[in-house]
Amino acid sequence: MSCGNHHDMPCAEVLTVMYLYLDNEELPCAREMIAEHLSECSPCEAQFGSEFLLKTLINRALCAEQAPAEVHSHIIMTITQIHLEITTVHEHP
Amino acid sequence: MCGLISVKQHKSSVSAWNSLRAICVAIYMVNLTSVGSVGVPTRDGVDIKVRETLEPRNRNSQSLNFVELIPQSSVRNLDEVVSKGMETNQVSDPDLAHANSDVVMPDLSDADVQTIDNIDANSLELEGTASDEETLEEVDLTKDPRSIDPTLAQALLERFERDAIPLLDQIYAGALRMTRNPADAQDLVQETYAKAYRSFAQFQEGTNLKAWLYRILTNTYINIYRKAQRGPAVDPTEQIEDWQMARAERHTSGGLVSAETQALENLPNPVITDAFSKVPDDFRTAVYLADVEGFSYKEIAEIMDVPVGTVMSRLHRGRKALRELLEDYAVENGYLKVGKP
Repeated sequence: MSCGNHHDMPCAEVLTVMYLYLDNEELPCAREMIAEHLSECSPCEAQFGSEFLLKTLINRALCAEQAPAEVHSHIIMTITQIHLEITTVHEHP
Repeated sequence: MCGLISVKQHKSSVSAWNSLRAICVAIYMVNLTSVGSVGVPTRDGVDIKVRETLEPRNRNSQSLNFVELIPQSSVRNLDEVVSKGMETNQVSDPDLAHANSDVVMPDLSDADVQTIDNIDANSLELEGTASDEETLEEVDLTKDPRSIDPTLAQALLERFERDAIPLLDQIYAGALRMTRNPADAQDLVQETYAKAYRSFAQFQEGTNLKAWLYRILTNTYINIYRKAQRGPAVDPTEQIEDWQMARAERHTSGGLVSAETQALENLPNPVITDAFSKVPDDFRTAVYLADVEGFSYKEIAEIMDVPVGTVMSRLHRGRKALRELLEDYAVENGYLKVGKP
């Protein structure tokens, strides 16, 4: 569905590359062409905005996790143990 | 063997690590002499509590102005700016630029699909910038420990502590999204780091360490947790699906979109986290790697060991599933008054 206005790049083409654009991937056209389309087509702009918001929400909600302290201490112990296995074997063959 | 060690540090300070390591050595030696085995000191047998006061990570650095999104070669999130170990995550090398051209016409040749059980550390050479002086990657710790020079082993340990340990929180968060369960996430991270350290000599310094760790994480998860639960990890229909056809290439009315947008924006984080955990495994992982970790399609393809086209399909389906779950929640709980399209 087109918004009815004329654009250098049709709405359907712009929407096809929406994820590539929002994910900063290589596009089949110049990024500026998409940006230009979005600046003059509010339905596409709303669609992109909504999709971008979803990305932002995912990032916001999921990035705050930290490993519990015991995970840190266990991993240090494991790594140390592996290291000691290696060096102990080397020193006392 | 008691005592409370309070380590106040930002990420890993050398002295704190050294003291922790000294304690671990002591525990290990006690284990050796008293039990006569080389078993890992267990949680129950060791009374060490480590309290850390890490600064909260702030990865909400994406600009809200999507029209002026940062260009391709720029960093994607603050973590990659802050973390000195992650200077390699730029997507500017010609190799990747070439790879990205696959995005439009994904090449789904058989050669792209590697066996999941094989972790080939060197296959993640996203940047060929390994230094010539670096000789550590020639050493395989697991093959013949006797051949290891103690100074090389020491250097390897220090490099691991410097580069890999600071990524622990991120890897744990990723594991938690995969397993949806803190106990399993803990085991998974533990196993991942043990594997990573054992094969760390194969990791090429200068390549993307976080992607390398994620790849081990993903493989370990598939091997340990999923093999028994399900059949093939990759849905064969995924690869032949035309991801572009799957999406309606038209926009809904502007008013409806902005009402939805407003509603989604007001949803609290736990609602999003909960909905996210209901998205199917592979889709969830792809979305997590893209939207939280900021990996490129090419990097996600290497981590998940699938073609780029499959990554795009998973991202699309994962985001679509999440959006539907959130919209349902928004409608049911009065965040969204307008009916769904």
